[in-house]
Amino acid sequence: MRRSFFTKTMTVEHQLADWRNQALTLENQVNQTVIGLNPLVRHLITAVFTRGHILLEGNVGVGKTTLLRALARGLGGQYQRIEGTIDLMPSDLIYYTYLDRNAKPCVDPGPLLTHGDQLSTFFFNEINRARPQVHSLLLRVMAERSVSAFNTEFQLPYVQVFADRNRVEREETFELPAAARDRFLMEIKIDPPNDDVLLDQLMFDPRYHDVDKLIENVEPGLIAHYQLNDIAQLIQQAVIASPALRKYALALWKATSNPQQFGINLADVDMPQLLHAGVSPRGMSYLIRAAKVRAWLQNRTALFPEDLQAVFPVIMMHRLFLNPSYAYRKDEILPQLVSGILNQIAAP
Amino acid sequence: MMDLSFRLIRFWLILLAMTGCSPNLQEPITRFELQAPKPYGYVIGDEIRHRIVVETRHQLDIIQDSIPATGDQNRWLNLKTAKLTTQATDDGKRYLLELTYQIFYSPLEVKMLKTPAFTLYFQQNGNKIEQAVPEWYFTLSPLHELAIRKEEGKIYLRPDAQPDLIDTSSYKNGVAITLVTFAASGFYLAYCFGLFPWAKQRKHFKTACKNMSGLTRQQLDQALTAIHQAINDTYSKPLFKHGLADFYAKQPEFKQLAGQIDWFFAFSDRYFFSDRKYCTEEEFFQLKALCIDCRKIERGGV
Repeated sequence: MRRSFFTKTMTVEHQLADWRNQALTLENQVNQTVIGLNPLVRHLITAVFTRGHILLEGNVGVGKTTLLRALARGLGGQYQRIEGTIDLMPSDLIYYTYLDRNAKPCVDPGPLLTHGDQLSTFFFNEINRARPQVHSLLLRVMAERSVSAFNTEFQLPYVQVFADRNRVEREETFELPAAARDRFLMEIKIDPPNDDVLLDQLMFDPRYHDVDKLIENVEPGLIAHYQLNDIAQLIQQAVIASPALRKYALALWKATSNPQQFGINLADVDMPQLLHAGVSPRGMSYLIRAAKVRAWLQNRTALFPEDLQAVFPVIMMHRLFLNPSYAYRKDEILPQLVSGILNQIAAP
Repeated sequence: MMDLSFRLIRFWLILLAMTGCSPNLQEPITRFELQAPKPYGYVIGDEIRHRIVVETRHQLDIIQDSIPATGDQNRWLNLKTAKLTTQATDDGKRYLLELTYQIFYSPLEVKMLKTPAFTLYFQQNGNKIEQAVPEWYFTLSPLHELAIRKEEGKIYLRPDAQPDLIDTSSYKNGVAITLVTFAASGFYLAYCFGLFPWAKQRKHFKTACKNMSGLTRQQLDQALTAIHQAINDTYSKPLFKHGLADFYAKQPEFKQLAGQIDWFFAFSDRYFFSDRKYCTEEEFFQLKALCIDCRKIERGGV
């Protein structure tokens, strides 16, 4: 009995170590493909093994699509992309109709169903240009990893949604509702690198001019996408959270609702009137899950405060909803609030 | 004839010999001199100094009671000091009597006054010898102008000219620099010893060391928490292991303990967040040593 337990433990440890090596290899290859975005790539790898969806926000041409294509190539499975437009309807994601060469009407699966259950990376470009009806369908796919069509329930067990929101253009766009944003594990802002050496490479190195050839540097199918759900569960079970860490996480959660109780004060802000809503239980669950993945990537089986802090901004920033009187200053206030929470709460 | 001449010569020789063997009949007082200043130009409040020099033979001693007593000599003259000094001379003694009078007389016009005469007495073998000191005349001037100017029947008065003040700026600067130096030293010492209520950051590790002093290694969580609290207070916000570089940048004096502090954070992480819930005696000693070293830095002693 004891030997069986020992063998099982060793197997899990080996399994986690093998997967970590694969994850770090993928991270390394993506970093060599899309340069200057190392922290972002670490967040994406974390999200992959947390099985959470990502909302990217950035200017055009900063490498979002290249990054996702490189990641999708390494993950294996199928990659699908759709552009958000104001006339896009939910049915456009599920099927499209056309007349074949015999003038016979045909119905083919849309982007969501084309690859069936092998769809692993679904990139929704400029999601805020799509109508709320489209958002609604996407939310169901994200939450339940299934979609109903033709009186049939299609399962998408490995799908991971990466949505992009253009921060430059706001006209003819539909802002994502709070519930939709809460479904995303992380909301990450992408900025181009500011290192002159990297910018020089991006401008003059021909290697970065041909995207199709560039992403071939990533080994295809490096990660078995169909095993991701299992390994993600294994990671959550293997990484432990001590009582002290739980206490710290609880304090972080409470601070997102009542920051003033933790001595957090921001300039020109009436703190009790600042927040309309704090972080949801789902948000905190996401935080712990992503932090555990981060601990695993750091080759630990114990969750440390630094793991929570590393993912706290990208997971919490879009889950803190300000009162309308402060909403217009959210780009200024939210980073300060998140920073204030992390700088004010000690562990132990 | 020859005999008569011889007798005359012998007579004169005897007479000369008798003259040389006779005692010197010296006067008892060989010198008396009253040295006085100018006898005019005095006004009320001025002082007059007299020096009386008396030289006597050896055996003659002055009688102290004959020296005028200090104090009022009359209604307008006061003897402030009377100082007698005695010196030996080749022929005897020299007495030097210095008298200082002050005038308290305000005449309406120039007036002649005099210091009183007195007699100095000396004695030798019960015999008294006198030496009179004469009066000394001088003129005293009024304070008001010679040509009296009157306005509305009153004497024109004006204050004295302001005297030139002694330049004391260098002394004032010296005193100021000394005071500032003392004050700065006092403030610095008070700061080092954490005596200022607003400078509590200088007492963080003192408090931590005090809290740790009574703990055993079975109370490891309290010991670790005490050091964490002190470090957080020093850093002004919670410090985690990944923030140590920033901590050393802001508190460079603690960089010399980087090895110990790094070890502390790794040890604390293992204790609080991993499954290691014990420490050895040596590790506990290391914790106390770290706290003491941090305290020394806090006091500026390292």
